[in-house]
Amino acid sequence: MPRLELKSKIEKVLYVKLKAGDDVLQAIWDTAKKYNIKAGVVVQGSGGVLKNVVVKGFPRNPLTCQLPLDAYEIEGPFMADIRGLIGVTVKSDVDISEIPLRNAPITKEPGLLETEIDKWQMLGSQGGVNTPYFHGAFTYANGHISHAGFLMPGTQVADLDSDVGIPAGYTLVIAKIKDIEIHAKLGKKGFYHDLVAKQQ
Amino acid sequence: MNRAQAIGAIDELIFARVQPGEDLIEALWEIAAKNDIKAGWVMEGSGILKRVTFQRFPHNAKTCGLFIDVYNLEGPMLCNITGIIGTMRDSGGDTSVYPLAYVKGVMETEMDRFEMGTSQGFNTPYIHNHFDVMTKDGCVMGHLMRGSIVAEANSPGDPSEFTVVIAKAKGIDFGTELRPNGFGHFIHQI
Amino acid sequence: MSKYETHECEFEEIIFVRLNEGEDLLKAIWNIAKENDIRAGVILEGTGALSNVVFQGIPKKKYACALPLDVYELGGILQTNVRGLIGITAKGDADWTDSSIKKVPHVIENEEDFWNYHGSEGGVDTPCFQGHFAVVNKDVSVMGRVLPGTKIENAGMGKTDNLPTHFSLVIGKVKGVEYRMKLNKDQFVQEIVKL
Repeated sequence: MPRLELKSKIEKVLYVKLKAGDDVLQAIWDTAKKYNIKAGVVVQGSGGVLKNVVVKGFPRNPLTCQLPLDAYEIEGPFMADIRGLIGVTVKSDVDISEIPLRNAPITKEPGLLETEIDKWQMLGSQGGVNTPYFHGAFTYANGHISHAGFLMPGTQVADLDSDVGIPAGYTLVIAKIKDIEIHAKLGKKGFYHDLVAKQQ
Repeated sequence: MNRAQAIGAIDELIFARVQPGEDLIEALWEIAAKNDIKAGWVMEGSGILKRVTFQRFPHNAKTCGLFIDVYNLEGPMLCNITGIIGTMRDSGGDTSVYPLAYVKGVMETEMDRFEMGTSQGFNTPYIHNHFDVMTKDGCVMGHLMRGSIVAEANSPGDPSEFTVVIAKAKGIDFGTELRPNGFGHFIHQI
Repeated sequence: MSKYETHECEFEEIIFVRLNEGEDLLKAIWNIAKENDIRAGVILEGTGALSNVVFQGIPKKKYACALPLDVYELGGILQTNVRGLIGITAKGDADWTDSSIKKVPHVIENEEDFWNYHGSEGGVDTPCFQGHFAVVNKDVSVMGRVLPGTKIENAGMGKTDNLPTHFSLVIGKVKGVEYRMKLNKDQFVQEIVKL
């Protein structure tokens, strides 16, 4: 399969200021929806600290983990540096209900995958077809660990209640790209990307 | 303090979906060459690799045959790559005066020497990159080399979700040269 | 109206700059910001080698640390990837002398140390940098916020005769907004101001 390549330019740059309690991934999705971003890059995410991280990563034991990528939460605070790609979820031949859980029949996992929206969000989409999609790795660190993973909903900006020396809030810099769209399409086991010229 | 500096603008962004099984560094070289990138950077690049080959400072500099060690790591692993792109320039002179220790399987040919600097030779693209990968056991960082392979897609036969965004700058000519006195050290020229 | 405070702007220019061996990384960033009058900017790319990194990190034990962000130092030769936001220190409601951490022995001894600890070169109307770097040496990988004392290294080749390095930054200078850090009461706040 030949490599897919498309060229484009930056239409505009957005500085997005998040407050304590804001969910970082939801903010990226919401900004993408508000500004109709169908191709974009989170160029930088920096400033303050995060209260916690909810992250997707490879399971310690793929045989016991019910999902191909594990999802877990770690209490912070954490410093974090976020980058990634913004696109849009599009319709494909596969329905979300066909996406299996590994080593298990399709079931609802209490507290993790209870609704169809949860499944979409596990894959990086805000809510399914025609909603924003984000694909990005972020690095995070506290006094004990430095780690990386894929951002998941639930990661929040810290409320530091006047801890001097730690800047309040968190700033994202997002580049909105013109003339192309990044489509996240559902295959049999997860997303793949399609790059297309902007749809009219 | 005098610092080499050049000011330009973003000419265009190149979005490229790297295919399952592709070598990530070879793909970046190819994209840079095809788009005649004289100065650029990796604006974004994240996805899953099945294997990486990378440089990292050795645990013991005395036992390592090279000033920087070369490691392999089997995945799958989540990867996030950054890097600056330019051209490997021919500053003249005889490349045989750039001795690096011979290390069987790692540093055997002149091409191996260029690849330590993530280039394929004079007048080819040069990418000074760093990356971090997350495996099930933790996070590893280093300098990515050829031999870092994009993992198979979630479903066999599907394209990947490893899309890189390369920013091509205009008005700037960026490159690297080998150090003149023979240590094979790379120097940025702006 | 967006739920989040959002400001539209654009990249005015892109600056490629090669750092010099032995330079202090953070001071170089401030210097470049001043020379290029960057009041909002992004380090888009910064890959290279460092020696003796000094950085802020979340303290291992919050109440055992005199500072909200601890200061760590790591030796050896390290590979790094630095990114962050460049802006300007603006006047806030408080003066540095009002701060509860204006004096922390060996870390904050004077006004310059205070501002440096917060990412500012020297207080109001001087550049500030809010950014992180990830570093890896032969033993560990860590991430933190850059502080003065972090030096540019010429990649562990031993004596390099002050040859140029292979550590170059790519900085996007932004126009249309200013990214400000202000000291309000007892906390630093980020402010994005539309121009």
